[in-house]
Amino acid sequence: MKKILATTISFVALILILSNCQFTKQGIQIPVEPYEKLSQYQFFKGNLADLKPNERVIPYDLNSPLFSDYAHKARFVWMPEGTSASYTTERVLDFPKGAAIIKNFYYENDETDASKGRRIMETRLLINRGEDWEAIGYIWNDEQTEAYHEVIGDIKEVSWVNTEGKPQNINYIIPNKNQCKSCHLNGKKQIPIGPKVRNLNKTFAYADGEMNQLAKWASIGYLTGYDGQANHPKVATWDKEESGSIHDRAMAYLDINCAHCHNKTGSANTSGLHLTADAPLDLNVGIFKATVSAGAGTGGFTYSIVPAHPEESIMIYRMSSLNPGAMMPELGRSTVHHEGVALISDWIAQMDENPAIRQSATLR
Amino acid sequence: MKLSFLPTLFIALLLLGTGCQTAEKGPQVMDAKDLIKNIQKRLIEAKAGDQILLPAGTFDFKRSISLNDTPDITIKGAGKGKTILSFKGQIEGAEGMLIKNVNGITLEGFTISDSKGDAIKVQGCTNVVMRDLETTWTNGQLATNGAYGLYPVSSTNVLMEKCEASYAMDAGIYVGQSKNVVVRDNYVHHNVAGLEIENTINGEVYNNIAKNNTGGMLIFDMPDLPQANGDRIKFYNNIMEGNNGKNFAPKGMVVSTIPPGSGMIIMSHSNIEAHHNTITNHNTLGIAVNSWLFTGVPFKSENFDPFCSNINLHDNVISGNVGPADKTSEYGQLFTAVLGGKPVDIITDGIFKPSSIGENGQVTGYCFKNNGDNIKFVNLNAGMGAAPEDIAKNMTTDLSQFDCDLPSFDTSEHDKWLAVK
Repeated sequence: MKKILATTISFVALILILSNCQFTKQGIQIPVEPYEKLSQYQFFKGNLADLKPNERVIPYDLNSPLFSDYAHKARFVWMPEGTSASYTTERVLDFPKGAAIIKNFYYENDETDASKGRRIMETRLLINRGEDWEAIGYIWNDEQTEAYHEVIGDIKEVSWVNTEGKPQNINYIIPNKNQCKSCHLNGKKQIPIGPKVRNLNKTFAYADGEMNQLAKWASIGYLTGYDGQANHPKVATWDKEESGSIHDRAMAYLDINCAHCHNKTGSANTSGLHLTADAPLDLNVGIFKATVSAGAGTGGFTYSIVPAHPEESIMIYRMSSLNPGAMMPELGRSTVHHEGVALISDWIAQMDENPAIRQSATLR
Repeated sequence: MKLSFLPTLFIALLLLGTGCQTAEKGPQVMDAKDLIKNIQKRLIEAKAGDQILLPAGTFDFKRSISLNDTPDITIKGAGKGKTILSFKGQIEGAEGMLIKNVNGITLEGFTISDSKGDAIKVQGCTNVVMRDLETTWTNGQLATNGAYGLYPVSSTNVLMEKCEASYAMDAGIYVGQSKNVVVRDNYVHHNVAGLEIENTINGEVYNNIAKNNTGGMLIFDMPDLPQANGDRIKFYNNIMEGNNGKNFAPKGMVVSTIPPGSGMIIMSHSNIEAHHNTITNHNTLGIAVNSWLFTGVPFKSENFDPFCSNINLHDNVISGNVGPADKTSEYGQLFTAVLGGKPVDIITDGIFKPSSIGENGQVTGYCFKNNGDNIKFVNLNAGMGAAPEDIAKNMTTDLSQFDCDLPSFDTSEHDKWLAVK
């Protein structure tokens, strides 16, 4: 009798080990160790590649997003039942433990013809573990039926037709787990980059109608401390002229594309170049700033920004470069963001050629 | 039948429980066959205390290799020149190898060649050992080479020894914004700067050889950085010989202003003692002592001290500097304009820290003594005007007011840590 009991217990134990406790799951649960397959999280229902969110998985968008080689991003957020993020004015929202940010990177096969479908390259999860956030990467198979967990990333060739009808072809680089940290690290911890009030403060077309994203999050219990009547900070949309002055749009662009490293506690603080949206328009953002360790990144120029002269500005050179030893950002880009370069060039071109800082020092 | 199944099941469960303990007979050398594919995964999944052993052979990488956070890791190859990680075909990453935020990292016995950016960057780490490493670029002195070979930055307790660094288009060995640093027994050649210590506090640099660079050894303090104001560095028993190589750094980099033929340049740093170094056969200068102001490049930080102070150069051998001085750099052209193109053994811009200048004009805290009987010395007095015509008028060659002694200072903070390495 005892032996039969032991057998039964052993079998149960074995099943538990092998099944990874899946049969106890009800709805979305975030495991301690990453699932092997993206579908296991149950963030999406039906055909996985349709990215149709399950209940409480909320799509969102940003006013000014990070450029990622012209990939589109379908972003979603999920929080455990009964939890919510709390409002913060400046930094990323304070998300509850267990919260998940889900970012799907895809290319439209033809930007001029949506009917030609899309190809999802990867899905990145950021999970708030409480002490720290964890970045977990999933790479989609060619059949677009599933995405599989991978810590070392990959390089995949991708082709598409751009908005001008021109065929494009690049090596799309999926970052490894350490590279995720390069951008998401702040001090000693990883944090999300995008979901700040000023970036979320926009209207989104939900399945049940348009609504401001912050109001939506508050209405479903995802955001506390939000005053619906108050004015909330809103960053300009870099490519929409009506959203702000050229300075505001340029700073919005630099903030989302550069400031995750170029801030006082980020990976690039060793450079002394700070590109947060609120940085003063002086040496901080690179005006007449000499380089420290730019290496090939100088392109033979002397200063990060030479006002009125984008063609002599290191910033433009590095944004336009595809040499891994010179280009900025260092990661996540294997093509030039021509529209971004144009914006920053225009911004530099309209600057005062002879700012106060120039008068305070003798320049060579 | 049912009962006979039991032992098998228990063994199975036991195996599940024990994992792979049977394999843990000391670290295994990684398989050369799959190294390129596996090394990054191994580094991401490393556990504290792991030794990661690399096989001999040449391995071609497309992406940079990185290690983050996991403490007490050793990455060890079969020796420099034997385990070669080549980045000739690199398409991604601003360095060959990046080690970040690791408390306890030993890198030993391998070569990194042809990385697109820096070869080995160690950022925000403590207790760093870099030993028997080589960094190089194999197509000669090109402006497209990476900037730094061995590059610890923002790190504490750093030992670099028995390494060789060549063909970097900035510095072969570059220590930036670090604390408690020992750099010894290294060989740096054919770089723009052989060895550079920047914004670093408390260090000793000895028994190193710098040959055929543009400038042999540099000690710089740069403005507007998180760790401002380098302090307390001893340089001794180093050899700087024939650093007359062309300057192949792109314009805009600080080192692009270094005149070919420079032995040692000290800029805006405080508390330097350089003694018993051998500095020979340089076409332009033996040792230069300059302030940041001499560069004319603006800075914003109010707590940055742009002046050199307490610079003690004694008992060095400076010889064989016959010229002609460089004419390709702005600094070198000054030699033609005011010195007839002749080289000098010790040169200072004469822009001294205001607090070090007495009422009678006597300067304290700059001592250049016993560096040879007939050394050629010039004080440009550029504080009275930096244009060549001003310098020609104001410069002096009188070494007597620098004939003084300075007390030695304590750099022993690293001794305790070094004792266990």
